[in-house]
Amino acid sequence: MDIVVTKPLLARSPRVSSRWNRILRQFTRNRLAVAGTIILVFLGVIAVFGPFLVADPRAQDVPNRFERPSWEHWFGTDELGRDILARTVNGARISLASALAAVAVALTIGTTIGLIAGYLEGKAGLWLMALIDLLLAIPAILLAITLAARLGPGLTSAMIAAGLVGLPAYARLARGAALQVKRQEFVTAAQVTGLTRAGIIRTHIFPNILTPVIIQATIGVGNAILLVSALGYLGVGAQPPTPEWGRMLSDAQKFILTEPYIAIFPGVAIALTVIGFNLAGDGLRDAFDPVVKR
Amino acid sequence: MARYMLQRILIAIPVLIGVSIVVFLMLHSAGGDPAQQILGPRADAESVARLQEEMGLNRPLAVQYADFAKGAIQGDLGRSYRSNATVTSEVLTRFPATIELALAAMLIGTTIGLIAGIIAGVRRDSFFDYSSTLGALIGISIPTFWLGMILIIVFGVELRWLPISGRVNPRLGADPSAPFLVINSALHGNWTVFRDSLEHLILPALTLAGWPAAIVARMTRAAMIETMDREYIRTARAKGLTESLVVKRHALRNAFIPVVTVVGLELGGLLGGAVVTETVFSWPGVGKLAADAILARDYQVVQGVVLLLAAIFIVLNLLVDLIYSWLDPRIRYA
Repeated sequence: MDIVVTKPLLARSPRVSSRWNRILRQFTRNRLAVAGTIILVFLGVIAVFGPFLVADPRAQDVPNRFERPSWEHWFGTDELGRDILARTVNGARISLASALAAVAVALTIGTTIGLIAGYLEGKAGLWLMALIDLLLAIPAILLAITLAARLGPGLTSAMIAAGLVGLPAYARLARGAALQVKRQEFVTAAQVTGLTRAGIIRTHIFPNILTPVIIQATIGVGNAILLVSALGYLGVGAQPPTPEWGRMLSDAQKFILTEPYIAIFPGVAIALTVIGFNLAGDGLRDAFDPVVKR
Repeated sequence: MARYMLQRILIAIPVLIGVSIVVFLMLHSAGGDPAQQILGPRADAESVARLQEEMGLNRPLAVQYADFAKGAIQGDLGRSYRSNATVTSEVLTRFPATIELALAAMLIGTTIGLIAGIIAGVRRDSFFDYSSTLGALIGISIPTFWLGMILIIVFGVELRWLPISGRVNPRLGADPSAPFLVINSALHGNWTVFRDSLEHLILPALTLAGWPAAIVARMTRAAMIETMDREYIRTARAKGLTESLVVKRHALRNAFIPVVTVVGLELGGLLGGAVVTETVFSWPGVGKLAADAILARDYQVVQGVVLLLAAIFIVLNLLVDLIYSWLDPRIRYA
């Protein structure tokens, strides 16, 4: 009970607010991190509002196929005469949503497993982590394509596969942090007051591991976008006519000898998005942990 | 050292068994019946049942696994549903092509990464540092398959300098599954095949090298910066050594330790990345084999490739551990 009362006090204490100010200052002073954030905000706006502003990404216009970029079709048209701008913009929504979903899955399950393993320690904890380490012993992309193929090719399978591949990172992070935090005095104090294990994990250990998990998640979204698009490219992810970036590139490769421009814009979109997440993630890490910063 | 090595090897065995169980379960239990998937949705119940019987799928999972494990130990990984060849032979014929590609990529990636990382770390905040940091950021952010497509467009389609698919021109009569085609043809003085296979290797190797080059550059830069701030470097400078001697004699060796880990681990990652790169360039290796097998639902082959690559990954991790402990004796006693 004690601790629940101190929580709001903590939030208002000047020391805490100055810590957040310092972190925010660190972050905004880092030009690359700001650039990354601007890219992400831009992409977010496109993902949310873009699809309302562009043409139907599935509307075919075969007589006007393979049109070079023009005023009418800014990015040109593909092999079925579909507007590549419309498909790329709609792809932003699909890629961001599926990557966020994959990270949400990885983060929730991974953090829970890691917290439990860290808090329990002993044999149960070791077994849990051994299971997690097994996932790391298989090359990520191979694990993901096998799983996606077995679940049946599709965007949902790709999301689940990308989530599973990302999961060990959160589990390890959460376990390490839980092991560290649980030895601190306030956790012992909470145990003495009679708080249950689940209660201690929730109210004391979880808030303390939030920072590294958020940083990992930011970079994780970028990696999930790369993985989901690779699965789309290999044919086990999003299926046509879904305008998913990886799938679009796989279709574009069939015409690469004669119409190479179709392969440009979806690729730029993937690269830009992942750069945005990597820059923002690096910036967050430096801001939260100035010691590591170089 | 012997004790530590033994310990590490003993840990690797249960990991390998665990991986085989995970892969087995993933392909045999998740998401429906393999027999149904192989025959397609329109197959009637009777043929599905017959195939199940034939594949032994109606036995308990534990029995199926035991059977599979027994075969795997003897090198029998079952047969491909498509070609009816043994999985072991399918994998072994394509494996040399993947090794050649992965080693070429590692060589290119590590060389570029080390040079860029060392210069960037020594000349911190210079123009070179910024450009190589930006290059590394792009390297870890662009999808491998798109990098491959861009290289195809630039060097294959626009400039027409290099071939864009396969391992060697079929008209030359060379075996596309031969081990180390490039080096071998040079050793035998077959310069036409040498030149052709080298040209075929360049674009896929560059594609696969992008990611490790970026990682090694980042890692080396960070390690160099950390080392250059150390006191013994200051001492070396105070002794009056020239800056290049300080870097060569004192900094490089210590900065090298974390880089070894990354190189070792990335080589494992490369084997996975090969699936994508080999698909882009129709490179006849295990990656392309796995990708094709997955699309054709040839699960025995998929299982074989995943197990093989996971086993190599585990062995590589083990080697990295051992090299690491040899470079830095403190690790053994930790």
